[in-house]
Amino acid sequence: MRSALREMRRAPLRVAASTLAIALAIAAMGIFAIPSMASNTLRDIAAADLAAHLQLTTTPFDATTLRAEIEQMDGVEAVELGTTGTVTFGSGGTGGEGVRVESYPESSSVNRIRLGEGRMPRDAGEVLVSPGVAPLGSVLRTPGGDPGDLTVVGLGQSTLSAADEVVFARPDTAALLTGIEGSNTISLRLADPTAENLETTLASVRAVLGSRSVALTSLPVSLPDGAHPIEEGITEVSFMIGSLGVVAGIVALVLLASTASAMVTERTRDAAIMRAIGARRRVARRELRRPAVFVGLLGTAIGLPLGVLVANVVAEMVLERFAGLNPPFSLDPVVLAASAVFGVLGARIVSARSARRVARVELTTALRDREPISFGNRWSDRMLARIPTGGVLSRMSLRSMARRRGRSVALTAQFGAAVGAAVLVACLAASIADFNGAELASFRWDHETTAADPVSPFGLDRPDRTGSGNGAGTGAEAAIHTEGMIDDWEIEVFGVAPDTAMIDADVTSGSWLSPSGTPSRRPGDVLPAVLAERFADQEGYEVGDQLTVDLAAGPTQFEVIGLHPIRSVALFAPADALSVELGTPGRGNTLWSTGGPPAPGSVGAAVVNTTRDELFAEDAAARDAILGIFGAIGVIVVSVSLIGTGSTVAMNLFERRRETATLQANGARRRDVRRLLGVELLVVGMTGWTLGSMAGIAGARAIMGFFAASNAIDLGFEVAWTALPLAALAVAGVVHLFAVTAARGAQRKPLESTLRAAT
Amino acid sequence: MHARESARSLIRLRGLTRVWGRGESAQKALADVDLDIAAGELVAVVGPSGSGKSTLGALIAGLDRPDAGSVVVCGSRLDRMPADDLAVWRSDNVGIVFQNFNLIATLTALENVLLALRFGRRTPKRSEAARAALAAVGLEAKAHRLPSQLSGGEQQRVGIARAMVHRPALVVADEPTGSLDTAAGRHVFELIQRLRNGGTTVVFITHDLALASLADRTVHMRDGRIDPANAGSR
Ligand SMILES: Nc1ncnc2c1ncn2[C@@H]1O[C@H](COP(=O)(O)OP(=O)(O)OP(=O)(O)O)[C@@H](O)[C@H]1O
Ligand SMILES: [Mg+2]
Repeated sequence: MRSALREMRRAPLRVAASTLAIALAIAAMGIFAIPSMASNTLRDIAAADLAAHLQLTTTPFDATTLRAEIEQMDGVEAVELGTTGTVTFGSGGTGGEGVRVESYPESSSVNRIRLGEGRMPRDAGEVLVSPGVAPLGSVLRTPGGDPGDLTVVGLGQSTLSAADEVVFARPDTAALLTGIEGSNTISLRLADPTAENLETTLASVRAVLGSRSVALTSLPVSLPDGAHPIEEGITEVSFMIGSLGVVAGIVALVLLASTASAMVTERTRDAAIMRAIGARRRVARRELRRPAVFVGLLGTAIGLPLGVLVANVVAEMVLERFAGLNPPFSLDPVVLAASAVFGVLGARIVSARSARRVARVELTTALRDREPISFGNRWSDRMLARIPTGGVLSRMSLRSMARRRGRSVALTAQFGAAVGAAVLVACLAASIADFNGAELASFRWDHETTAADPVSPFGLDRPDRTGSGNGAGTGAEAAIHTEGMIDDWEIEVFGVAPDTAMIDADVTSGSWLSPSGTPSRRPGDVLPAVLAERFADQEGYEVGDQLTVDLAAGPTQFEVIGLHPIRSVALFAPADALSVELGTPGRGNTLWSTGGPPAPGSVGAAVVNTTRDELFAEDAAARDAILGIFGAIGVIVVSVSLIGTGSTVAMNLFERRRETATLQANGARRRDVRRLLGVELLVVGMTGWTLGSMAGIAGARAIMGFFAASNAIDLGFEVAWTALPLAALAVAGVVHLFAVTAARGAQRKPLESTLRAAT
Repeated sequence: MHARESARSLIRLRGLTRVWGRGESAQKALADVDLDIAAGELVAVVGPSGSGKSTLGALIAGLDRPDAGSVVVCGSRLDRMPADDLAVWRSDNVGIVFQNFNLIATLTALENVLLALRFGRRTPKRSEAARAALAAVGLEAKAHRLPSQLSGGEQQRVGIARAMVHRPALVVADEPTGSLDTAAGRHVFELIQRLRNGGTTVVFITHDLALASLADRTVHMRDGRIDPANAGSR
């Protein structure tokens, strides 16, 4: 402790820089806590809200007998039957578009609503809405007049509706609003919600529904073990962020290693003197390690609370952005412990190496040597001294770098890490921006009009395909846009006319859909499908393969006839055949148009209009959120590296102060000193730039690859070429700044004292 | 006589004061020192430890600036000169020999000598001059050795070669023999005498009274002042 304090007094800036870097790195590692923090928060919320483990949306059914039948099933704890539908309100904040309405019974044993503001509805004229739908106290005007105006008395959200916009109404109100007789949702909780039990229960429920000719209208939502619907996405994002935190940690360790090595090496003589008066090597080693271990401890002590703070702030950002939730303040003991161990053990390990080296130096040598780091004892030093390249100064530079190779490697690594982090973030930004544009490239429509409810209001037959019968603008085409599951992947299933004008029909192999001569399809037939190429590649599907897609209505067999360059997980099938499979022959749920959306009210059903631009903007917002987080971590890594470089450079100068003073005594001016240091640093910096650029590009490619693989989409990869010269300029600038500062500092110190010092 | 002497002075110090530290801990290392040294003189500076010898030497060599008083060396007023101009002045006018040698560890003997030619006036045949200087101190055979491969005496001879290679008018040597044994010390002193015989002015700071007695003149210092009883004794 005392020796550590002495060290702090001797080189306060260096100790402070190392401490700060360790603290920042430990703080950055706190991000690893986000997945577990988020998941704990989300699961707590899901449990408190009695969120459904299994949720089904179906065609309307009579609730009375079904409830009893499901309640009797093995392991079912609670069942709630409800009504959901989309309603276009006449006024209020809903902008004339359809909004989902969900029924909400007064005392619910499944899917409780978390009240944010206001209160729960008490009578039929009151509703509760999720944030963003309409302000508290506003009035929603219903289209038909029934059930009359609705007052928003509360703001809240249910777990299952996550970040969606929903109007929660009492069951009678919901029935009036949606016009649905009976129920069309089944939410249930199991006593033991394992994935296996959920599957069994789902099968039983399906059987019961089948026997009553009730069909599922969308994929069942299954949340095993009390998971929250948005958990998976958040875990993935936090993992990526956390891996940048590791980079920061490694950079900080490199810095600590070089600081420790300098602290230890400078005390070579101290250690020798200790040994000369009787200290054993082990004691000397411990004595040498002490300051570095102290720095590690101090950095960890500052970094841990900082990390908890960073993790909580980022967790809040992420949960707010993706789930509209305000998580409570929390900690992850495992991550806390792991980062503490990282900081302390890391310091101990990196200092142990140099301590061992220093304690091994022969006593006589250690006591005699004036300079802590000798030059010329090694064969390679003498070789280097034989190379008469360049002027005296450049020879000095080269040999100085070789003399303190550990230091040079650390500096290179620090420059490399800074450049690498910057290039990585830039490449991610470029790739995601590129993907954002390319994602919609296969679509030719400007507007997508989707039936909000599981109804299919658009005729697929020829006359309607022009859109004339559907009330849309110039070019319009009815289609089916639904979702399915294939090998645990969610897949977008498009039912399109084979001669569609709204989808790019170019395939990369096989062939596009051909107009079928036989419209008389029966359920159970194998449908031709054009599959997204990237997904096919990843999952090993080829042209000619058969695959089973679980659609809402049940499993459907497809045969892959072609592969399509669309970058999302998607499949195209003939609309007419798909409509038969879905139980709505000849009807579609989506209208693609190019001139403009259908006139309001012309489609006798609630619809949601989406423009390409909106989709683009939505993606852009999500992208910006992710990039913002990446950018923030990137800034941390770059700062840690810059602190590291600054501190290493300062350390280097400090060690070489006598050398610099000797040069000055021999007539070197400020600019000579500046040039000497500048050249040296530039070599190191540019090496770091080269390695960092390569590592940054490779890292970004790996991250995009990871994202692409875990989503089975073709994200593509773009190198941010402009970032490279910019980074080089930045490195040159930093080097220049260091050299200027150092040369000025060297001139300010009294030469005489430096030159006469014993070491 | 005083006036005549100062007219041909190479070094002329007036009212020289140097204070280390500030406030309570302030300590006058030099207090109001006047000194003239003529061109071509070999002056030994002696005195007890802490009497201000090194401080004086540094001021004469342009390594340091006084808190008060004036320093004129080789016709230049050093006490007000900016740092960069001082550096240029040093490379043209002075050679400095240190007790702890201060050789650059990464440069060979020859390169260390070359260093003194690097910053000064353009000399056409630098490496020949450096070799000649090393030969003059008897080290041409070890020109390519690194300092760590040389003995203390040899390192100091490299230091002397470096101090004389650019033919300065003045050499300041602060205890050049202090780290060496008697024989090696003698050898170094002989080299210094040879410099003086070549016309160079030498300020030679030492503890060795025997060597000091061989100088043209000895200046005695005590408590930051020149001992009046012994000022300029021959
Ligand atoms: N850089 C410095 N900072 C503070 N005090 C200093 C410094 N240099 C010298 N001193 C003080 O100034 C006084 C004179 O020092 P100086 O080195 O000139 O003495 P010296 O005669 O050369 O002694 P020695 O024979 O031991 O070398 C001493 O008391 C010393 O402690
Ligand atoms: Mg001295």
